[in-house]
Amino acid sequence: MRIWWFIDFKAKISDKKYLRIIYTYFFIITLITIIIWPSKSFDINKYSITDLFLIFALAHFIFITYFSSLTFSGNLIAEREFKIINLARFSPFKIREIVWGRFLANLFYFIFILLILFPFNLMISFSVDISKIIILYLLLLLDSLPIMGLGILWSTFSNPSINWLLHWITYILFIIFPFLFPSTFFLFPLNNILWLIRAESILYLKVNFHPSKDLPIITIFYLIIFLISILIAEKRLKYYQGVDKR
Amino acid sequence: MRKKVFIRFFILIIILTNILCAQDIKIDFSLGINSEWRIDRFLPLFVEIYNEGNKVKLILEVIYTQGLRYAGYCESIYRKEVEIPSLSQKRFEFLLPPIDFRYPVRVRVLRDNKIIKEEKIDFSIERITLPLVLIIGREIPKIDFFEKARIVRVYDEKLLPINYKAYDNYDLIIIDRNLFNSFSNPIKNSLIMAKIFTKRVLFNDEINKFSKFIKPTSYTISIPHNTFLYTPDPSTLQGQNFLYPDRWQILIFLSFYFFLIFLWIRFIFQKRHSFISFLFLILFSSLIGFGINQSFTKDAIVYGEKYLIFLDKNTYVAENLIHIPLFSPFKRDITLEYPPNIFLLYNAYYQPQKNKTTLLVDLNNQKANLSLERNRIYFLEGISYHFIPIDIKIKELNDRYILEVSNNSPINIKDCVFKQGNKENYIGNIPPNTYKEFTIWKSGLKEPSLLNELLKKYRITPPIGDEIIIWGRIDEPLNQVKILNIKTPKSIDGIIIIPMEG
Repeated sequence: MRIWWFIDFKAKISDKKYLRIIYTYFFIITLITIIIWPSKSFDINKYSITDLFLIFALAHFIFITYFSSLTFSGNLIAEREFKIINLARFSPFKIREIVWGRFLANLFYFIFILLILFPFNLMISFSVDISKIIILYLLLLLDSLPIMGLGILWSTFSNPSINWLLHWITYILFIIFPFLFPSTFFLFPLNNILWLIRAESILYLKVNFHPSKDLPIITIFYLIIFLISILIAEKRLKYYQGVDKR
Repeated sequence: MRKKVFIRFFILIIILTNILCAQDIKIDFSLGINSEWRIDRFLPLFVEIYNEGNKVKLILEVIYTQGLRYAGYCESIYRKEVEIPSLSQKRFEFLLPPIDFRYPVRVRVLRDNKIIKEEKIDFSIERITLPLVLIIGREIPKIDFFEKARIVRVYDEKLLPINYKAYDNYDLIIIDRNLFNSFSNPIKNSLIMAKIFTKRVLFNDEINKFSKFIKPTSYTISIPHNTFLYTPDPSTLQGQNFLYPDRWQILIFLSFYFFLIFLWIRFIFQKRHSFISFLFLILFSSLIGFGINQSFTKDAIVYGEKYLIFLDKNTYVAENLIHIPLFSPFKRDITLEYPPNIFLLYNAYYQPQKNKTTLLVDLNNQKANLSLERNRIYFLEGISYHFIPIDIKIKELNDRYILEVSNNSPINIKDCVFKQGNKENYIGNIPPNTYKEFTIWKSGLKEPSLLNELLKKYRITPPIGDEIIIWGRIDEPLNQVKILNIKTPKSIDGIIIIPMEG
């Protein structure tokens, strides 16, 4: 596979629209940090220190999954200008190269964001050790996998309204579905993060997650969703390519 | 051939003798003198070891527990490392806080980290509730203060505890003055201190003089735990500052960091060495972030000391009941180093409390270890004694009292109050190393007494009556208790009480 996606990745870093979004997030987390930063003065009536890792693990999850759904489905304005359908129609690359290239470019961009956030996470994780940050990062990437796959599939719809609607439905369902059907909770990404931040003891929530037992099932489940989505996306893009050639 | 057999036989005998002798250690435990003790008072525990074998090093552990079996309890383990020479007998003394009748005291003796003897000291509730009288003398004087009492008679000073607080266990101690004069100085001192702080020690020639002050005390077993206070008092922690970066420092760091990232994206990205500069920026900022994290957790602990000091104005000896609240927002193990004048330190149980907490007190090195759970207040209590030379002379006139105070101690006594009965009058501060004269007008004495209200919170109080009392506040540390490897602010809230005895 040619490394055209690396140019795409670099373009994303220097793109002002991407920059605006990530800096909005950085601004929000800075603001939240200084608001909830534990007071230096001990107050007997509320003598507990806010667990910032718990709050920001959830914030990162919501941001990364939403942002991945947004960019992969091509709903970000920067992505719209550079649609996957147009790539399939006019670029000299094979369909598979386009799909995987788009995936890798976005994936690397998320790794780039997570790297920028690393010093911040190190600073606020005083209730946990560094290994928890690594686990958080791995879970964030793993949990974004089905959303990324489905995003690529939705990006093959040329109608922007359908595209937008499908992106939102996917994102909302992934967040809400486990609460509607608690027995399936462990299959959904939010569950993993809630397990990591020990939400069970704080939110009176039933978190069913046993890494040794559930992690292989979840990985396979997410990979299947991802691969099926990619395969369907490839099929659809082939159709566009075919239409244009014809 | 015969020689070889003889040598082998000789070696075998030596080995067998060694094994047999090495195990020949007899250990006896005794709670109180002659195993007689009273519930709800401080008491001594004696461990007597007879070593008929080789020299041994033993670890003695006394486990004292307070709390509820199913809702959490506090353990204090007193550990003492002792060496017993061969063919010798040694007696070791431990001071224990008032025993919770639901938990018998446990004693363990370890040798090479293996338990060689463990015992739960059980007791009969009926017996430990009876009044207890200690007679130090050969003859039993005629006393009719108690209808039914247990009497312990001792005339060998070796059987007496050295720690003066251990005598708190007795309702009455009667000492034969001639015998007392023959005692060694440590025993004499502890008996005198017990006389000062308990007011229940009499010499045989004082019985008739003071008998009217001694009332028989019949008592029942009470459920509240034997802590200094009825309810815990973490007020010394209120408003203390944690030693970690505040939100403005965090804002500066984050703003600077994200601004640097922005500059990198705008001006350095896609130029030579951009990848290396990015990695350097992330690594450097990670180090700073980790540094902030560490500085946050390392010293995030608050610690306070609440004192109730009872000073005897004749001997300048003071007894200090210390209540120490401790709070850490993070889970951590701490080691406390305490001075030798704190002769008792224990893990106090106040409700509500979850799980078991253990305070390990190393009596040899004056150190105590405690594991702190996150976001939870722990309470330690202890007793220390001090020497506070303050001379107070009082003159009573028709309409006023004249008070001459000479504070020769380095302690600053603030907000002193003159108390008579339930009436009080504010007199002012007594700075260290100063002489002051105060005039207290009888008409200025007003009800109610704040000290009486404060003392109502205490379950264990020094013996003060309704006589004239001078009391004030101390906000400087009397004891150099420090938490090792952690910097922590310390807040002191102390009350000093000086009874004037008429």
